[in-house]
Amino acid sequence: MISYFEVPIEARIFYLLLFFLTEVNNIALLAFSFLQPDAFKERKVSSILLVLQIVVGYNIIASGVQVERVIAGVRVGGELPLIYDIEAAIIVDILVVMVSYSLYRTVELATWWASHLSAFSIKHSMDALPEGLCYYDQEGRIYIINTTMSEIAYALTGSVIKNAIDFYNDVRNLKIVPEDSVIINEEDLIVISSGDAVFSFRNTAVKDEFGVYYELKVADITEEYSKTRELYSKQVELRKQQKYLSQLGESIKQVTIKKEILAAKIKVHDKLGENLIAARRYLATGEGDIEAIRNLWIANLTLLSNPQTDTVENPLNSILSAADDIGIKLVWEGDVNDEMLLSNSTHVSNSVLVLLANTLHECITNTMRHAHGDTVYVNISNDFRSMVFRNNGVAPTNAVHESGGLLNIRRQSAETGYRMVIISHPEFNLMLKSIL
Amino acid sequence: MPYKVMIVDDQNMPRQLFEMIVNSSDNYTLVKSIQSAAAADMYVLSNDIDLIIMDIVMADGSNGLDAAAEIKKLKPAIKILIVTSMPEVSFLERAREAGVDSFWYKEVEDKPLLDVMDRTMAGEHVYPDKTPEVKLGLASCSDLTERELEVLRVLSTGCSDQEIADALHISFATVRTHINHMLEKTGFATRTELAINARISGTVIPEI
Repeated sequence: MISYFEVPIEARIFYLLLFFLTEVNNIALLAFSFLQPDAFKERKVSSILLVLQIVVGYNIIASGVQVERVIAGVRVGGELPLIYDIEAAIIVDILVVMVSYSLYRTVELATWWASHLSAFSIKHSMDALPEGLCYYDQEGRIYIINTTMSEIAYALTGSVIKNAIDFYNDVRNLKIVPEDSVIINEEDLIVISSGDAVFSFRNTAVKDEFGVYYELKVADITEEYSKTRELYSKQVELRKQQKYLSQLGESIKQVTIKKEILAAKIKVHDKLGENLIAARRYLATGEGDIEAIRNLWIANLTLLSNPQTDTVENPLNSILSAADDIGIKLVWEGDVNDEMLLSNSTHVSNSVLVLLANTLHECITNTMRHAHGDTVYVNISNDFRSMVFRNNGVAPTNAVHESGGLLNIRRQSAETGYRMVIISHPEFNLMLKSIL
Repeated sequence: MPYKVMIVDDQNMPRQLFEMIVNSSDNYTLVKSIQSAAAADMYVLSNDIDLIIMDIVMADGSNGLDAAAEIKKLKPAIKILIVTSMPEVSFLERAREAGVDSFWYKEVEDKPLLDVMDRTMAGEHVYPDKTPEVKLGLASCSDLTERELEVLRVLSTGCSDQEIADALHISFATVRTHINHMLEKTGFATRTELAINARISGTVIPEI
């Protein structure tokens, strides 16, 4: 037997390197597999490989047979250097296989690691979020926090978060660094800091199979808030313009009516001019139709001397006047009568007046066309919550089929806050009941 | 036997002018002259009338086109002659749909009213070829498409773009496109300016 140090240096280095590489690889593999619960199987294999290589490696270095043969200068086995006999060759081959297998498994596990989530990847992804995120327990102890939250907390409080509940309460009570900060909205706890930055805080409890924990989210909504304010101002401006347009609509109508009157006056003025010329010619030359000239003068002077006012703005005016003209009598049975309606001493809204006018119109025409009556009875309560119409004509023999006018009344009633009810027997009744 | 005429116009002066015209002809006799289209059909039921000369826009909110449609349902034989000074582009089409026999623009007067009345009673349908040209900024109302005018009509009531889209059952983006096209054609800077000018010129009258 010779000592280990009498073995040729090349052989020593080779075996040592091989041994070292294999052991390091397997230790690393073993450690790696412990970190991955799913790699449990690898842990077993790696353990076996490690033990095997320790045993084999020791045997190689301590083998006296091979060392003696080297000393004797007898080369046995193949032409590859450092392989001295068949036993050594077999052992080296097994070693190489094991090393290759270990390397292969290492690469395989590394690939698996890169394509699967781990605790680190969860933290990594949280850090990539634009908003601050923090999970903590009932005592405020933090389970996990991302870098954005840490940065926001540092900007607001000048320090890192040690306790999430304390941090949240400090923000709620404005115990934060920018002194002129204000809270905009208590519910969602939006805070403006002095740099015109606006943050939105949201604190919620999460319950799952592991228990209850809390989630604190903080988002920098400076830009969104600014745009919201801008949008709000524009909407206010738009509503003003819309109101102006609606008001303009009414005045335009009046302007248009006045334009028509002016156009008619101009026409009368022109006619007067023609009359004057015709009359002058007749007086000077005797030419012209004196009768036609006289009639034109009478007509124009009649027009100018009869300045009737054009006030038909009350929608009931024309209906009541027409009913009178055509011989339909209106009997006012309730608290409200025609005089009150025409003077609008009841101060009822114009939409109700329009509804009343349209309903009266419909009842009057139906009385004439279908019931062959000549009287319409109207019963309106003083608060206008009930309006009932009936007539003295023949009652319908069948159920009333609503079409055209009655359908319009029903639609208009709904729009004005009334419900329309029609009763056909024993007499026709149309009722409008307020639903407001 | 002279034709029996009813005049429906809320304005005293034009109404009296029409009365003068009717009375100036032996072919016509004035039966009724009323101020509102709301009650026109009531008079039709109680009077024997051959021809109605009716304005469209009434101060009490009633309108001659709706009244014409109702009257035609009640008594199809009655001839209806619509008269108006409003260049609203939809009136011609709506008048045709309502069954109106003839249409006459007060301001334009391309034909004398009496002539139109005679032709109408003879069975003709006398309609102008087109609405009077009304300037709307750099464009005229005939430069706008039918859909653009529909959008403009609702816009001029003060509705927002979304409300216009809901009213016309089109998309919000389509409304914006139409408004932008109209602004390009007319040269107006804003939708408000466009709406106001459309109302002032009478191009659209959304209440009718």
